[in-house]
Amino acid sequence: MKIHTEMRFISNRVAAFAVAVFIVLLVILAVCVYLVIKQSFPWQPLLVLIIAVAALLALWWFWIFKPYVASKDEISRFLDGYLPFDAIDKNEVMLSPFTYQEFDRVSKILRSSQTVNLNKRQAQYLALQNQINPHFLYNTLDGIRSEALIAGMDNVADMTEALATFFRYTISKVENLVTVEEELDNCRTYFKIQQYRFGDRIQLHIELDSDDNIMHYLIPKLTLQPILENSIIHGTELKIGTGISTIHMEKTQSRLLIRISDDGIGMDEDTLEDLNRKLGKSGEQLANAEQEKKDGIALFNVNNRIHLIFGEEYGMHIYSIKNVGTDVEITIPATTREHEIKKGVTYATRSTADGTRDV
Amino acid sequence: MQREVLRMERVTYKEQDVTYLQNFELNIYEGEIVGLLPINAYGLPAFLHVLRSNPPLYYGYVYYMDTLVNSWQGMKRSSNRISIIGGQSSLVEGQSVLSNIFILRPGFKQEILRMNLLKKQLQPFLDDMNLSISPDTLVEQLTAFERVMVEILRAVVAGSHLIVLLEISTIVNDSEIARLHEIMKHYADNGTSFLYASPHFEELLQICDRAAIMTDGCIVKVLSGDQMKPDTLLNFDSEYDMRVRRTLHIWSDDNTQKVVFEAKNITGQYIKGLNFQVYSGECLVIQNLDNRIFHELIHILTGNEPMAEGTILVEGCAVKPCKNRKMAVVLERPGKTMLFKPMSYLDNLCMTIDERIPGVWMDSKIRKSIRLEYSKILGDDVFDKKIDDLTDIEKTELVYMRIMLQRPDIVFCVQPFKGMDMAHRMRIRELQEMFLVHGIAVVILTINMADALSLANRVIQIKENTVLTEYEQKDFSKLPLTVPWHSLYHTGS
Repeated sequence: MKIHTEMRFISNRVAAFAVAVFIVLLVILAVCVYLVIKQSFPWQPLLVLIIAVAALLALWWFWIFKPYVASKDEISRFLDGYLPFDAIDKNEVMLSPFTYQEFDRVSKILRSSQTVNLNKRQAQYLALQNQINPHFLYNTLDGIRSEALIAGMDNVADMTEALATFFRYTISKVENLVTVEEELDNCRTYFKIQQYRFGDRIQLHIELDSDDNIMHYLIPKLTLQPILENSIIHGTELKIGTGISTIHMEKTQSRLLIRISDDGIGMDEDTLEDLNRKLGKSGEQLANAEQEKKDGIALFNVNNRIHLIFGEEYGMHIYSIKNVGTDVEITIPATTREHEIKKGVTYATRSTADGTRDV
Repeated sequence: MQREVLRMERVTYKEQDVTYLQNFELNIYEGEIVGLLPINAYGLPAFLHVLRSNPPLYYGYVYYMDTLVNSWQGMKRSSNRISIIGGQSSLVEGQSVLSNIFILRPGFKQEILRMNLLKKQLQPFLDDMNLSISPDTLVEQLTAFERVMVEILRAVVAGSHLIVLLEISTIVNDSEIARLHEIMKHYADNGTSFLYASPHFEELLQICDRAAIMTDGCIVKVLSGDQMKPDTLLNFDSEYDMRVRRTLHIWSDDNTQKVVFEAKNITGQYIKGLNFQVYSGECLVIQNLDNRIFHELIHILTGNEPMAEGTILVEGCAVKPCKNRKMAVVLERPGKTMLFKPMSYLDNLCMTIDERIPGVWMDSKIRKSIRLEYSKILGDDVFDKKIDDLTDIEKTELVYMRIMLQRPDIVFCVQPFKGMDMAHRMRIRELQEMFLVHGIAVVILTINMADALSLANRVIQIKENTVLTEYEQKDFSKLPLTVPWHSLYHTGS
C-alpha cells in the first residue's frame, strides 16, 4: 500500500525505472559473461533480454511518459488561469511529493482567498447596513409614501414602496442562499422601479418550469437582479423600440438552469469570447482584481460566488449575437436544503477546522 | 422537469496545442430536436470527437444522461452511446440490414443466432418507419435514404439517447427529407433526442425546436421560440445574402441558346435513356432525386464507368467523357479529390492546360508567365506553399482556376457546396460566377439546392430513369422547396 502511494509521483517512478534499467543491464552483463565462458549463442537468454527491454519500454511509456505529459498539461492549464478549486485527488499522479504539496497549498490558498473576497462583500453589505440604519431608512421611505398617498400622488407612493422593498431585501437580508421565489420577487421589484424610468420601453417576462417545486429551490442571493440590471442597461436600454427581458427557469434531473435573456443590441464576437474566457478562468479574475472594476463586477461576482458555493462545475455562460440579443445562462445544483450543499463555504469551514488555512 | 440528455459545460478542447473548441456550451433535453448551424466549419469535427469519444479535455465537463462522462480534471473515460449519421455510411458492408441492426451492435451476446426471431423483432421497427426493406438485404444495396433509416434504427435499437444527423439534405432528396422529419418527430416523441446539423438555417427551421449557432469552435447563441424565424440571422450572412440578391437574375439574359452539351439517350445500370441539353453560358442545376442514378451519372461524366448506350455531344461532336478538354468535372470536395500532393502548386494549376498550350511542360517561361498572371488573382504566397499547407478555400480556388485555364465549354460541379462553411460557399459561388462571366456553362449536380438554385437559369429534376421536371428561372417559385431566398423567386426582383 505504501509502495502504491509512493509510486504516484513521477520522480519516484523515474528512480524505480532507473533501478529496473540497472538490473536489466546487470542481467545483460551476466548473460554476456556466460556466453563468453560457454562460447555458444543459445536463443533463450536473448529472448528473455528482448522481452525485458520491451517491458522496460512499455513501463517507461505508460508509467512515466504519459503521466508526465498529463501532469505537464495540468500545470500549463493552471498557468493559463484554470484553477483547481476542488481538493486534489489523492490518487492523481504528480511530478514529485513537493509538487503535490505545492498544489495542495495553492489550492487551499485559492479557496481561502475566494472566501475572503466573498466575506469582504458580505462585510460591505453589513457596513452599508450599519451606516444606513435600515429602520431609519424604511421609516423615512414609509413617511414619503404616506405623504404621497395623502397628496394623491399614487405613482410616487408606489415607487417609494418598491424602493423600500428592494432595500429591505438587499440590505437587511444577509443570508447567502435564498429561494427562487424571493429572488424573483426582488427582480420584479427592481423592474418596477426601472419601469418608472423607462415606461413601456421595457418588458419583463418570467417563464418557469412546470415543476411546482421550482419556487422553493435555493439560489445565491442577488444572483438574478444584477444580471437583469445588466440586460436592461447594456441590452435593451440602447435598443430602439421596446426591449423584452426574459427570466427563464428550468429544472433538470439535478440542476437548475436559469437564463436571463434580452432582445437588445447584443455584443460582438470578440467581446463575447473575452467575457466567457474570463468567466471560465477564475485565476484570471484573481490575478487582475483591478480589471474586475473595469469589466463591471456583477457578472464575475455572481460567477465567483456560484463557483465558491457550489463548485467549479457550475457557473455562468454568456451567449450573444449582435443585434439579436444576449442570454446569460446560470447553472446551479437543484437543492431545497442548505445542508445538501457540500462545496464552497463548507470547504472554507473545514479548512479552518483543520487549522491549515492561512486566513 | 426536463430530462437532460447531453450537457457540455464550458468545454475547451485542444489537439497539439491548437484550440478547436473554446468555452463550448450546449445542452440537449430528452425528446428534443436541436439544430446546429455551423457558420464556419472550424471545430465541428472536434466537437463530434468530444461528443462520442470523450478525449482528454483542456477544460470543462461533459454530462451524458446526467452522468459526468468527461472532465478536465482527469477521469476514466469510455465512449458515449451517441450515433452520428452523415455522408459516410457507418454500416458494415457485406452484412445484411438485420446483422447491422442486431448482431453487430455492442452488447449483443447471443451465442446462437435465431434469425427468424430477430426478423420478427425487426419487423415492428420497420413498420413503425413505414419502410419496406427486406432484413436480408445487403447494406450496399440500400439507397441513401434507406441507409440513413437503417442507421437511425440501429441507433434506436442500440439504445442511443442522442442521434446526430450531419448535412442529411445533401444525401437525401426533398420528399425523403419530409419522411425523415416525420420519423425523427416520431422517435423524439418516444424520448430520443436529435442534433441536426446543417449550414442552412431554413432547413433547421423546418424541424428543430431550438438551434445552436456555432462559430470558431464555440456556441455563440441558442435560438428558440420567437427567434426561430429566417430574419433572425440576417446579420450573420448579410454579405453572402447581399451578393446573392445582387446577382440573382443577372445571368438570365446572357443565355445565347447555343447548345454546347447534349446528352442523348444515356443508359447505364440505373439510368435509362436520359436526355438533356446545356446552353452556352448558362447555369443548369440537375437535382437528382435518386441516389443511385446520381452516382452513376457522375461515374459516366468522369469516364469511370462506360455507358451501355447513348452519346455525349460537346458542341455537336461526340466525345468520350473527360477525354476531351472541352468538358470538365469538379468532383465533390475537390480540395481532397482533385489535387496531387507531390506536385507543386503551379504544376497542379497547369495540369490541364496542355491542349491549349502544348509546350507548357517543356517551357518553364510559359509556366512563369502563368504564375505571374494568376498571382494577381490567387496571391503570390500560395505558389510557394505545399498542397498540404493550403487552406481549404485555397485548394478549391486552385482547382477552379485550373479549369479556368483549361477553358472548357462546360463544367460539371458535383455537390460543390456540400460540407462547406459560409465563407467557402461564398467563394465557390464567386468562382462559378467567374465561369459564367467567361461564357463557360456550369452544370451543378446536387441533391440539396439551397445554394445552387440562386445561381441557376434552369433546374431539371431527375428521378428513376428520366428527366422528371424542368423549371425555367421564372418558375422557380413552383419548386416544392424551402430554400434560402425562396421568396425572391416569386417576385423576380
